Amino acid sequence: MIIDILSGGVRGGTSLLFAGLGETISERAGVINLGTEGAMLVGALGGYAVTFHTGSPWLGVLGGAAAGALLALVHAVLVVSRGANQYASGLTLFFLALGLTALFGVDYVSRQITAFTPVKIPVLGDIPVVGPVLFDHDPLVYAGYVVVPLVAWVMFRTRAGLLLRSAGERADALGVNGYSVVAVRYAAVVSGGALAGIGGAHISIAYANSWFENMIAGRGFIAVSLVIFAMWHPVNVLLGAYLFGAALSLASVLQANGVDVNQFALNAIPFLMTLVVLTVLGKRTLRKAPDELLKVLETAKA
Amino acid sequence: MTAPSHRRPPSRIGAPPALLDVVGFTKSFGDVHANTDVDLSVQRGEVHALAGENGAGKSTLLKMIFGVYEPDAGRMFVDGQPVTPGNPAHARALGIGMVFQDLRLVPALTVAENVALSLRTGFRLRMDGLVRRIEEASRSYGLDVDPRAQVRTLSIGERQRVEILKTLMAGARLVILDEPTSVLAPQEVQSLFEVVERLKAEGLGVVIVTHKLNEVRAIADRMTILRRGEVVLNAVAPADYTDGALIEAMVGRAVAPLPRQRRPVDPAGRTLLALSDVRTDGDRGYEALKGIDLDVRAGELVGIAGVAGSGQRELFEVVLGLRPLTSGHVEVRDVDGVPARPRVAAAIPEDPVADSVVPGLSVLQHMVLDGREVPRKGVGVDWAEVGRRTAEADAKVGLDIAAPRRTLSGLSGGNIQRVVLTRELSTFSPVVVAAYPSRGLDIANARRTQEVLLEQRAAGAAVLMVSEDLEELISMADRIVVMHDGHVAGVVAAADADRMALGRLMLGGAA
Repeated sequence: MIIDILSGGVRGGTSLLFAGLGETISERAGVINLGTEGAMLVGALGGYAVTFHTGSPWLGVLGGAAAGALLALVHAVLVVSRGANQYASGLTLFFLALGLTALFGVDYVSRQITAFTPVKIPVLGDIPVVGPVLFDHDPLVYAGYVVVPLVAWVMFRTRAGLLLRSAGERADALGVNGYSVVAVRYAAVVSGGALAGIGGAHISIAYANSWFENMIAGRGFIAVSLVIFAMWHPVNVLLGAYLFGAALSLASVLQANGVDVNQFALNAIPFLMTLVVLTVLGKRTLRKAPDELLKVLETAKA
Repeated sequence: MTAPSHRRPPSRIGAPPALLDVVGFTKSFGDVHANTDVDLSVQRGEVHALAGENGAGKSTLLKMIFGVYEPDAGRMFVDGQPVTPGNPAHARALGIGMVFQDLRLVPALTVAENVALSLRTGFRLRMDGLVRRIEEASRSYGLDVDPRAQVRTLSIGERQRVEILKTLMAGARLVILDEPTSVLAPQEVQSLFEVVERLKAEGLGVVIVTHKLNEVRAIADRMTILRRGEVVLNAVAPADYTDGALIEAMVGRAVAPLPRQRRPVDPAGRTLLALSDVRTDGDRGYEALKGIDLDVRAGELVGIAGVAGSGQRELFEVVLGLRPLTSGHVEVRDVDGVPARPRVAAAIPEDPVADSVVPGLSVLQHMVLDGREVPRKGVGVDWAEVGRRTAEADAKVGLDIAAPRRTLSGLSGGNIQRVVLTRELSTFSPVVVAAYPSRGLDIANARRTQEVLLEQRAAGAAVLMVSEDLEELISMADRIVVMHDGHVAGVVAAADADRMALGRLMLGGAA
């Protein structure tokens, strides 16, 4: 059962991983996007619809990414170009996405798709414990293993990452060096939305293999707080995502193992965990906060 | 009376072209003439001081040279060739490098990453090679810098060296330093000047913006003074002028020095402000004050010195009760010695725009926002009486505040500072806490502010003043408390304060 929980953590955490990485990129540039939940929702529906019409879950992933990117683009226009309040814009976009996906998703409820199926990696998948936990999953889980180091590499070893971090730490410095803060933030917010869209698509075309209204159920908001505990570092996002993934899939794992527990109580665990972590860490979470983001966060402090 | 006029330098026909020649730069923002027909000429191997009051047009001139603003009229030549820098990148390509006053480094990045940001290298950063190049450059210019250090951990002086190095590595032949010494300890000023001498010896041109005449005399070959957007003295040798003449050229009239004779502090006087073992956390959760003990007596002015970020802001906030203590005590007493009720202290915060101003309210409304008793008329405020008192306060303090009807959002930083100073200092307060009181003010108003603070001291107030200007502290304070990294590094009697010794304390060394 421990293996089931760990394996469930990796599988259930993959959507959080993609969304958390996306939010990390966005916040590293100084933009907080509470619309991540919305980007995951449109990603889940977009991914499901494209998979349904094309029969290819890989095209579905692209569809999910595009849908998430589009929603994030609206956020970028509002907060980067128009200077709107980041919280207001993010929350509004979440509710917009919730309504739109309910409206356009009706046609896809109870439709069958060719979803991603688990692919066991030869040799590695046969290692005891490690195999079933890490190497017997759908392809998007493996994509997550690749995307984390990739994002970290871009962030810390390339010029693009340097610009990203500068935009979030000291936007003035970019302008003085002849770069456009606006362009960097647009790129960061939109690519963050695309990753959140992929996270959402993982839920609909690899995890639940169905579409229903509000199927993200708060994972986007968990991803946003996850980024804060992860201190804006991609590797920490991975660990946190799998931890919260384990909490999210605890209910189904326990039920499958015949343990009699209240499912609704178990569903509250990830959110209680978030509250506990926020309480314990308090202000300390802000030590690593990008300076420009700190300005945004400070406005929400009592 | 006007200062001697040297509008145009002597003809240099036949001489090699100057490194930089600015001719007739003119720039207006709406009705404000920021620069009118300004000339500036810098030779190779020359250190050229640019001086003038806040608002005299120095920044506008520099920003036009650096391509941030486009001049309305005027021409610019580099090596005798006409150029029009449309943006900073182009200016840099022409060999013009600018070190801004509020350094534009990214604190969270390393020195090498900051250099990489300004050099247009490839997509991959290849930090190891860059680190080696930085080490070489830092050796050849005598700019001691660790390329792998995170900028946040560096002192202001070290950050400035990074900025200069960055500029040089980008190929600058003309280095513009915008008020480089205003935030430095004396030792750091000295090592900065050594670097400037080195650049000069290498044949580079240096423009240094400063209003400190001792620095001008120490480092500059020639000097240009702006006043109200116009050149008052053009490329003169500072040695040909007295301090008084140079100040008069900047201000437009003579400014009397601060009187040095004042009544000594009564050793038996009551302690009105007492801090014992005060600890508090900064905004990021790190401990910002690490056990501060400090007393200020009635009729005493205590100055706080320290490099920026040593805990001065947190100290100011705990004294006023704006920041919770993690341990220790702060006691503010009234003149009779009883622990204070609210509004015993007058407060001039570091950033009055953020901390003591409601932008949408008028000057008049701000005058009753200080927590003191408000004149009443029926159930409302007697605004006529407030207006009368405001006029009285303005006449008494003498900072010439804006019209009572003006809203604060429409005032400049210096004008807002004057409103706050007038409100806080027009009546006697047993305890006066002032952070950078003369920041953003022109020389005449800064002097008046200093006088008013000394008047409060003479009237028996305990005055605590934070300043980054050691000269100001030495000329005003009875004792100078030097802070370093949240501690009191040392307490020095201002009468026998040695600037170098203060500087060592500021940098964390022993006096």
